[in-house]
Amino acid sequence: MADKGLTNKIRQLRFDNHEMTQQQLADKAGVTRQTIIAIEQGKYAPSLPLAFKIARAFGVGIDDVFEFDDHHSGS
Amino acid sequence: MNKTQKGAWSTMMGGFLGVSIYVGLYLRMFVTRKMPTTVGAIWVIAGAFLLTGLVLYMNQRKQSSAEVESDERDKIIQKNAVLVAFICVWLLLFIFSFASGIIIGVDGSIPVWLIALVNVGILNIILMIYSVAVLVQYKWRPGNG
Repeated sequence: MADKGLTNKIRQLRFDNHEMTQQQLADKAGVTRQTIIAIEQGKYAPSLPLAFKIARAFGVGIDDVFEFDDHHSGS
Repeated sequence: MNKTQKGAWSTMMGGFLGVSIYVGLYLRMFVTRKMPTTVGAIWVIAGAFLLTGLVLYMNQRKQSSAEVESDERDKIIQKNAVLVAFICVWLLLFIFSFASGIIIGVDGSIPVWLIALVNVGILNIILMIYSVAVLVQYKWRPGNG
């Protein structure tokens, strides 16, 4: 479920957005808090629609939240 | 703890309770040669109702009012757990057939009612395997995931 090439800035973005909690982000993205934790820790690679929802919750583009490095990719 | 985790925990507890009652009944009926009493049965049924009520109450509680029932990651976890449980059904049936052949003998026979008990037993074990497979994917911890 995880992809080594995928990194994210969710933690940083949460703090930049009035210290948004994981639960608040989960509610905005329509997932459970456990899923946000797993994504934040890089243990789960979200689907494209979920990645968009997370980016929109912060009011930024998907590239501002997620980065993909081909060289470290698991696939 | 989200709803899928709670469901897995309660299924595992229920399965464990089922196996305990099953083993207890077996020991009472075939080892100590005593039939279950009505009072004993009432206690077991009352306990099962109490546990069911507790589980239903726990499952109603949400992490937040906007919490979803399950999301895409939960569905992947459930799908993997179903696959594990499906493989285990075949393994258990194979082991049961093989073991009964060795224990009873190839030409031996077993009472028909025993097959029903074996099926219920396997179903119970499968539910527990499914729950463990779900919880392992959540790494057992309630808060983390």
